[in-house]
Amino acid sequence: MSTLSHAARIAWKDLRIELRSREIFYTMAFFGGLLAVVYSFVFPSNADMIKIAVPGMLWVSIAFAGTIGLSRAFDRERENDTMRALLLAPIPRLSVFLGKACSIAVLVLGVAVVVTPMLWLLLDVHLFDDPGVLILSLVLGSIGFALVGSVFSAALIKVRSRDVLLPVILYPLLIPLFVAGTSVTAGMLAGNQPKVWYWMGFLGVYDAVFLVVSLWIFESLVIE
Amino acid sequence: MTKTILCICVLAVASPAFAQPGSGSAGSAGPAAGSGTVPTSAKPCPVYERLPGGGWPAHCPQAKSELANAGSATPAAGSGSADAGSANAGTETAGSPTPTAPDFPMPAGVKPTKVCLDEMDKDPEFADYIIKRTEGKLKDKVNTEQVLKDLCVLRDHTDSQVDVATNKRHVIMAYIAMWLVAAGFVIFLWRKQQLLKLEIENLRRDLDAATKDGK
Amino acid sequence: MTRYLAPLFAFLGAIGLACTCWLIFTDTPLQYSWQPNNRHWVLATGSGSLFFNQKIFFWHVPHAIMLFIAVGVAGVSSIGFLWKRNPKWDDVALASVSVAVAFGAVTLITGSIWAKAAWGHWWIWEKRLTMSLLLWLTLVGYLLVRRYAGASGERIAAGMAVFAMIGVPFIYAMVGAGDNHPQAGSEGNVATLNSDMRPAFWSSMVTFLCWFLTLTITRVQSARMEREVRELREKGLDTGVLE
Repeated sequence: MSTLSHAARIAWKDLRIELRSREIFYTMAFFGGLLAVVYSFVFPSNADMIKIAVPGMLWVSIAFAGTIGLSRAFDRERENDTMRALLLAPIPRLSVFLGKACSIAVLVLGVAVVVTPMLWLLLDVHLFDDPGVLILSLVLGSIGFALVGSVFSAALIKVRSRDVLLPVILYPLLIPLFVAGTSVTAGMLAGNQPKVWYWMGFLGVYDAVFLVVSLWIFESLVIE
Repeated sequence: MTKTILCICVLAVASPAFAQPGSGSAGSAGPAAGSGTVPTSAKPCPVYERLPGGGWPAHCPQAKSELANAGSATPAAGSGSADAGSANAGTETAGSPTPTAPDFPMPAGVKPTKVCLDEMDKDPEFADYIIKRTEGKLKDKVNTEQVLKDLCVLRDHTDSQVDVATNKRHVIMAYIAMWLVAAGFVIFLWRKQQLLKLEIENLRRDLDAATKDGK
Repeated sequence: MTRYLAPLFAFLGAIGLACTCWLIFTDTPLQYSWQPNNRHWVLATGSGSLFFNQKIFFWHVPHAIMLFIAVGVAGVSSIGFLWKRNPKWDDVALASVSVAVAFGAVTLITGSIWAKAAWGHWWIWEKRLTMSLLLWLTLVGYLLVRRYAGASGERIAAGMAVFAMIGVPFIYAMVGAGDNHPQAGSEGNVATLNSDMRPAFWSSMVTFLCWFLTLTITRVQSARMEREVRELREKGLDTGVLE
């Protein structure tokens, strides 16, 4: 269990740094909120159409804000050259990866916590009718996003065009995650229970499989 | 008058429950169907002004010439409903002289369904009348309006399907696309080959220059 | 010996192409049957009245199958590269992905044209089309990363290829139950293909397999030579012979 305790320590380190300055969280959350405001302008205010579009709005906000937060978090590591220190530390690489992924997941969840009430407020959609399902789907989605994102963000640290390459790499790989997330949210809004639980299961399986794959790939990709 | 006749013929095709007495051969005001007794000065009344009992209001010319024209209106042309029509005519006019089929002026190339639907679209009262006539008989059996619309749509689809099936446009497009991509890839490979040759030349030249300098 | 593999497959492929075209256009009948309730002719396999457009099938399906083979090869050789760190695996992965992008483009374009001919739309979000599009996007991302990510691009791209290969079943499961895709035979299985179409189909499969092998082998050789030139130059710089 030392791997997990090391991972927890690394995650807590990241979160404590973040708590001090709150830079990434504020910027990510504000960006997510701005996106919600933009959506309420650019989409027609027909209530039926809004209801159909809201799951997509929620998860696209998570995607964009999450990508920004991801690249910013690893920029911090790069600026202070702490990534090398982490990799040189006498702890398994897996715990470095798990710790980083954990902290990213918390940040993305924070964005979701900001964006969801804004969408509920601005667009008058009953997102909170089934809070258990909503929270579970957001947690699973954040975990999946953080896992895949951390692998490639860590690998791209030293690359010059990392800002544009990160979305190029991430989004095709994350599309099943977003489809599942939007399907869960849409099913929840429509009250379609079988659909909700099918796609929730899909999210769970996606997270599990990509956890295993990411653990293995991280060791190969991040060597400096 | 034409539109009414057409519609009722098409409805006769579409709904099997139509073969009932009194269900309406409409065209007792049919165009020039041996109805020389219709006064040319008086315009005949449209069919939907017919009285519920089957007779005509007194002001209508048909009222005077009904006996002569009764039951003779079902046209033989177009929708092949002659059997139903003449069955109707037979049951309806038992006892009247054998009706002659009117000389139905159906223009060549006209599509009965389309004409019927067009007339229904143009005149809402007429559409109402047709729908009531058929729904009154059919109740919940068939949504006649929908059936008519479906027939038109099906005809359009079949037309476009035949068009797609008989032209080779798409196959040629697909084959051209495949050849273009294949050619593109081959050109890409060839360019890489040329660049490689250049690279090797440069390397050779640099090596020669370096070893010459080294000496 | 390996020098002659690519020209050999190219030659076989050329013969195969001639055979295939001949078979497609002379031997395969236009199959149709009368459906009395709809009152129009439909293709015997039930995929709509395609008539001549059915011939696109012989181009489209082999390319799709080669696409999936190429992705499989790319995924496996990426795993091999990440594990053994031997650049030869990386060459094979790069070549496979390049060829997969080309074949994927043909699959998507011919599939789209077939969709227009058969269903009237250029694109619909149906299982196999969505899967192919997402796969193709991932492969293009692989090529971009290789090109623009600098020295560590090879590793990152290999990681992407592994993720893509693992993600394929998810994309497949994601697109929902009903499959409107035209089926190859009565069971959707190639083995149940109508016997009239079999010679042309197998001929086209063999042709495009040869074409696929030609392209892959050529690209592997090209990638290998590029790497060797690069390594030679670096060796020269290291030893100080070159500047």
